[in-house]
Amino acid sequence: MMLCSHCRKKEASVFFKAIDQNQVIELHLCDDCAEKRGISLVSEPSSLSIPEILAGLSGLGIKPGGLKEQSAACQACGLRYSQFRETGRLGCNHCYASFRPLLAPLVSRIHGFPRHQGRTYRLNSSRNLEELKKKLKLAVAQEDFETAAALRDQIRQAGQSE
Amino acid sequence: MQLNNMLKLKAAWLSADAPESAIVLSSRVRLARNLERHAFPGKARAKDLSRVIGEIFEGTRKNRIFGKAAFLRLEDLDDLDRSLLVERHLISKDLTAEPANRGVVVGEKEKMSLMINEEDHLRMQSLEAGLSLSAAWEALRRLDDELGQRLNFAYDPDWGFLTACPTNLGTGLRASCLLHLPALVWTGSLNRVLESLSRMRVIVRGLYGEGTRVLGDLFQLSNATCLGSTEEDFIKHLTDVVQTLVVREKEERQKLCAGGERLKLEDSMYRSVGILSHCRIITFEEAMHHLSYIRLGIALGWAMPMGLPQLNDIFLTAQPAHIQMAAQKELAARERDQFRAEKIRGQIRA
Repeated sequence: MMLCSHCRKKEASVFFKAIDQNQVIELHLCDDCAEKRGISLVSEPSSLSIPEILAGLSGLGIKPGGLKEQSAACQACGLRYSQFRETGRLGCNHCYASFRPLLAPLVSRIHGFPRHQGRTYRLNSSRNLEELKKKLKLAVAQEDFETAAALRDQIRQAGQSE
Repeated sequence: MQLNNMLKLKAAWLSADAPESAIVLSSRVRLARNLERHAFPGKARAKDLSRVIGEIFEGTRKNRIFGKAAFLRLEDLDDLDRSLLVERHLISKDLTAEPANRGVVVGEKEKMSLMINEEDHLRMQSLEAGLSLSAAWEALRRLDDELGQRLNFAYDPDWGFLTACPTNLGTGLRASCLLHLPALVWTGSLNRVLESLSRMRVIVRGLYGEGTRVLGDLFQLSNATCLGSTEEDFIKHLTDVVQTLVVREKEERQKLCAGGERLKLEDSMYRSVGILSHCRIITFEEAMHHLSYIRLGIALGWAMPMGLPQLNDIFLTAQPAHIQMAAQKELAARERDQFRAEKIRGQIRA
């Protein structure tokens, strides 16, 4: 018999797996502990809001690799993780990279699966190139040579991959 | 009141000539996408939001699917126009909350449409009549291919298409069907059926989607998750669930017709015909209640004063914004109910 990894008293019946960038987090919970945290298989997945699911996940001993929940912020848009906890909405696509270890268990909980299996997508490289050239022109005009140098490298790279 | 021309148009998704259209009114598939270079709408500045509309309008105009489309900015429309779009299931109520820098593109026959700067930069939708999720998906897949070439979507190989809310992450796909389930409601079996649905990762909602009430025994079923399977698998799963429900509803209808409840059902149905044919004041909710019985009567092949196409038309045009648009002015609730009664009586006589 496998005991509940949270209360260590009852038999575990809900098995919950989340994949972080480099580690698999496994939890075995009894019905009661799972229910209390909204991780019941019987409950409708969408009946809980994101803040509720997050509240349920915290205190389960998931330690996201080195990221501190309170101070974590997205480098691109400035959204703090604590703001996401309140609203359930991310600020930009870079938030997914900034908060990756914190989001991994949530994504698994919502979808019951940690990886995308649907359509694949590649950025349109010729369009990307156009955009980069436009930016380079702007950077040169503004005499921002540091940015211009970085953009030139990116253009060279994009040109090679085409 | 720019959009009053829309009243003359029949929404293709309300056609009565479609698979299982006696029970399944419509099938809808939507995809959530975001542009890589801009913050999500909730965090973006007004200037960025305006640029997003511009980029999406530009990318879409070249698309043959939207050759004859209407490109609209919500701030250019009045409240009534915006409500009309909600009632025709072309935009969400959320999009109307803050009209500045929100956009919508409506394709021919209202089959394909885009919603811009709601929770995500882009929501593409494909609507079909009856149980036609695969057809709706096929049309949307082609649109996604084309727009994906012109716009740069935010994408991560592990997590798929990136969305403002992690519940839409992955495929960004939400498929839904609008079902008419009066027999399951009548016999009280619906609750048990709905309970089993939640275990199958299917969500049930009211007529206008999230957080809306159930009217006229109409239920919207959609997939609860959208990451971890292919788009085709999500579509197939929902189609299977809807098909099961269609069978259950049909069984329940047969039982009702054969059993001791038949007389009671007949009585309710013909009372509804009487009320809609003679009422002088009627709310939308009450009209929906009676239309539900008449729809059931038509499906059972009983003598009813109208066919399914006519009933679908009344169902669409009895909604509050449609009524005011037809009256060509804003009306108070009481005036609306009066105008609605008059209109429905006319539609039944026609």
